[in-house]
Amino acid sequence: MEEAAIVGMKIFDGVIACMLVWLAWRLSTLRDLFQAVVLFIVFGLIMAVAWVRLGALDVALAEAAIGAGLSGALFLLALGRMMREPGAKNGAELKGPPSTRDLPEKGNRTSFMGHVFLLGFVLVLTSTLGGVLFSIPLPAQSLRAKIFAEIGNSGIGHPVTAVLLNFRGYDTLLEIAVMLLGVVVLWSLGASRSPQGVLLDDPILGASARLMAPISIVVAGYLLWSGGDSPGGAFQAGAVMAMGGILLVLGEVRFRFVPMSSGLRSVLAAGLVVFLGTGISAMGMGGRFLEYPRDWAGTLIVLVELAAGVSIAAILLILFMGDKPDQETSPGDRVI
Amino acid sequence: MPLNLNVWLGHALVLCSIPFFLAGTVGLLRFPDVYSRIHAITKADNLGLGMVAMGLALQADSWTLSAKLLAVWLLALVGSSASCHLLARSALRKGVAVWKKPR
Repeated sequence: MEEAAIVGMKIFDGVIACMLVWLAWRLSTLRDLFQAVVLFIVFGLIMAVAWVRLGALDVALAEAAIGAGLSGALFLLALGRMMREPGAKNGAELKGPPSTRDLPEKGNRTSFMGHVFLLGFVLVLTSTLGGVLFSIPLPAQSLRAKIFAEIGNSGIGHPVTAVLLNFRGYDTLLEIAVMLLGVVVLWSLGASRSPQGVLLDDPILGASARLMAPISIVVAGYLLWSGGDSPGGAFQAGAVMAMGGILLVLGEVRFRFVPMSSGLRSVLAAGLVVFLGTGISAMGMGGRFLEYPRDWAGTLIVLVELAAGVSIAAILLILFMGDKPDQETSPGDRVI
Repeated sequence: MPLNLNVWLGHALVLCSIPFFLAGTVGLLRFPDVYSRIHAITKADNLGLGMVAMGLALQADSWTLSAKLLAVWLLALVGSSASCHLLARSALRKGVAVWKKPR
């Protein structure tokens, strides 16, 4: 029975790998961009299964939440905007689904020699990486032993979270800063002049949004708390909460307009500020920047994860909503 | 081979979900218009998922795990029903014709 299970899993892995390659090729060559986006979402989900098979459960959670869920929603939103004529008022005519037929004419496309060069470059890159990969001596040197030796000092039970938020906390700090930068860049583009879409006033969407949003908060809290001892963490929790927020924004009319306020800015910046604060306070407790003392490490990390989770949820939701909120509080005829 | 009733029933339930998923996909591929296709895939996949969830819940180690699997099924139910409704509504708005049986 054991060998049958092992062979079965190998076949499953092979099927997943082939599906990934086929999906990637298919979604790059499809004409209809809507179908390509749907395949992209499917690709994200199959990728999450692949991560589970590789034993990387935190990455699988993040891939399913952000790669398949949030990115899919962003792509669909962009497609919806592309289908409408810019500059017109409410409910402009649909141009039709965007397709790769809108590409530039023959003269501007890549030449045959260009294609040959690209193919050669990709082949050289693939063979170099493959050669490097197969020349790594087995058993692979991993940091597993070192991490488990030090994990008692980190204040966290789960090795992935310990690495993310204590041993390599600097990287995570920079990641959160980059996400905040993303919002800053998005808002610096200013308010868009075209209507963002058709007002979707559907009772079932509203009802499911009202059901899913509180559930998403509970699930996010659970993911955040369980990130200490099992797969989970701030990014996954933030992504789940952001998706509950997206459902609310799509389903409830009164949430479509978010005025700019200091509360909004504080929530967006909270993750970065708290993270920096704990890093500096670590210096105050006798250590270098972000060098948490052993007794306080657990508490500080929980604090950082909480702030980062809420912040990431707000950032992702704002990235979805897109335009810079107006300073005044009159909704006017803004629709999403 | 273990004679545990839970494990056997769990495996049987998961295997029983296969014809449901198959039927739903066949319906997706072979039904004549958008509405019947959406209907087939949603109903059959929800049932199939319910059987998988039940089968896994029977093999779970603790009550909390079974409750989580049940919650997964209920949430998937809500999500897929809402999307099914939205897809059909948007197709109706766009004017996709409902298939009529040819005389």
